[in-house]
Amino acid sequence: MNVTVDRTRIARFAEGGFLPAGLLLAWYLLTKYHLIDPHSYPSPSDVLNGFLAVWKDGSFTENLLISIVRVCRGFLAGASFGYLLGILIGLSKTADKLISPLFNAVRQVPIPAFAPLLVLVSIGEPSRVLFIAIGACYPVALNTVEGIRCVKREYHEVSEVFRFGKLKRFLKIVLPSSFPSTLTGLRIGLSVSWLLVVAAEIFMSSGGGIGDMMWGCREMSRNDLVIVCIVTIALVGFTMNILMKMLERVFSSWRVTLKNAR
Amino acid sequence: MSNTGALEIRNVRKTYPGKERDVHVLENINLSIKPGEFVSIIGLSGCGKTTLLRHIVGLESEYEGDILLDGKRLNGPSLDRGIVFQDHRLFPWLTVEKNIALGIVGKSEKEKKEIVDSHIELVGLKGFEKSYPYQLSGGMSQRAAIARALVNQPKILLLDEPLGALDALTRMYMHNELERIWEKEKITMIMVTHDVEEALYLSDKIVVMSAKPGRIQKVLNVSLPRPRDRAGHDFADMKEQVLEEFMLHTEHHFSYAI
Ligand SMILES: Nc1ncnc2c1ncn2[C@@H]1O[C@H](COP(=O)(O)OP(=O)(O)OP(=O)(O)O)[C@@H](O)[C@H]1O
Ligand SMILES: [Mg+2]
Repeated sequence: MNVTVDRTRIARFAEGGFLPAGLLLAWYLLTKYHLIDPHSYPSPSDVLNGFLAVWKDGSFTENLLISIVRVCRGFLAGASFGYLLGILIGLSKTADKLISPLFNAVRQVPIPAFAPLLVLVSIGEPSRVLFIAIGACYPVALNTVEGIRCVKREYHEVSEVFRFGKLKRFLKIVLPSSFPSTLTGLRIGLSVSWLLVVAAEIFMSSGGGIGDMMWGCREMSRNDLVIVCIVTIALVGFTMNILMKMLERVFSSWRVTLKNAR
Repeated sequence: MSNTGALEIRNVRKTYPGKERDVHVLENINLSIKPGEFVSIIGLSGCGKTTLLRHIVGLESEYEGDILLDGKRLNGPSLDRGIVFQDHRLFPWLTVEKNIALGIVGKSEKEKKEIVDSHIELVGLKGFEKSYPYQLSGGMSQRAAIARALVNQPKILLLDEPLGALDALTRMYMHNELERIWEKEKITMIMVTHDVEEALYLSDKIVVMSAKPGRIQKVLNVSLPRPRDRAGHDFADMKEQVLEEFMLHTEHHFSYAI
């Protein structure tokens, strides 16, 4: 059984690789035969050389680490807040009535629109972290509310029959039952955070990080390095998503669905 | 704990409010069940059997009439009544043993462990303590649900088609298991079933219900000695009697329709 799983995984991986490989080849050919302006469009080997240079002088790793730490902070802050908010709204009708309208209105504001305000509040790292946190909070809160509302009535009846108190019902039924939904929110929240860390570093620059590095390179017209940054951003985001999906699988293995059965 | 648990149902009537018109589910339900009796409720699908059990367990609070347990009117669910739902309702995120343990109230961890172990033994699920509900067969899930319903030593155990999903052979095996548990625990059992033989094999009393609105059509006492012989003469006679209830019922309906 494991063998077949592995085989389909490899097959899917290979299938997913066709398009990038094709694009890479096209890019290589376009630059090799000077079909596009070599100054603004560096070739694959330029990019590789650029990467090796920034790798050797340590600036690549340094900036990448800065971004990852930053995203973790923003995500943890935003996700925790979102989780608590989601629980509050999910459990209490009063909280729902009081908070939800405001929450849903604020949610419509694109996160970058908060940047000018955040800069007023604080300059430097806190504002960047807060920027990310805002984005991470929404999906976690929304999915937690949804998860809590979708706890089956049947399970509530069981807890009634066994005379569970409020706390026991919350800890033993509501939380575990809604957790898969929260995890989906966490996965989306982490992707959003990673998108936002780049934006934060561009809007609120000079704090280092991969986005800052990319913006700097753009200003110095080092398009080879800009591409290095773009590819890195894509790969890190991709890996994060895979890790979160694995986590989701582990924590919702009890949910036998078509998705899990794959 | 003393094994009292005399149940008295008097003039119970239930309607669910509906958008167009109310759904009249139970009408004039009168039934008394002695402590330690095994009672089966049998009737066509949709006649209100589950609804009646929900009333007895205390999940329905708005109804007319009285349901008395040991002379006291019911007031919501209580640990002296356990229920095995039609869909077993185990918590899918917990293992069998944790599902069973979750229901235990007011015991130390050590006592809990002992209760869980003895109940797993009782329903024959040894070796599956650490399994999740999705890893169990339908019958095993029902058995786990039975164990969970018994952990607080209820006076009354309600079973809603506990064997509905099983094949005939496993069913017969489970009949013996249920009888064994009933004899060992000495509690009142009220079981909903569609299976006349099952009802006859297990019950002291069979309650035949008719539909729309659900009422009690007949209460038959089964005084055959135990263990019962499914192939016996008296058993076959009783079976005829029960089946007749349904024939008469359909005939009545038929002439009514004309
Ligand atoms: N919450 C409810 N609101 C409205 N009608 C309901 C509700 N619950 C049950 N009913 C109605 O009550 C009737 C009896 O339902 P019930 O579930 O008790 O039947 P049952 O005898 O257990 O049937 P089955 O053998 O199929 O399980 C049905 O017609 C059903 O539509
Ligand atoms: Mg039913």
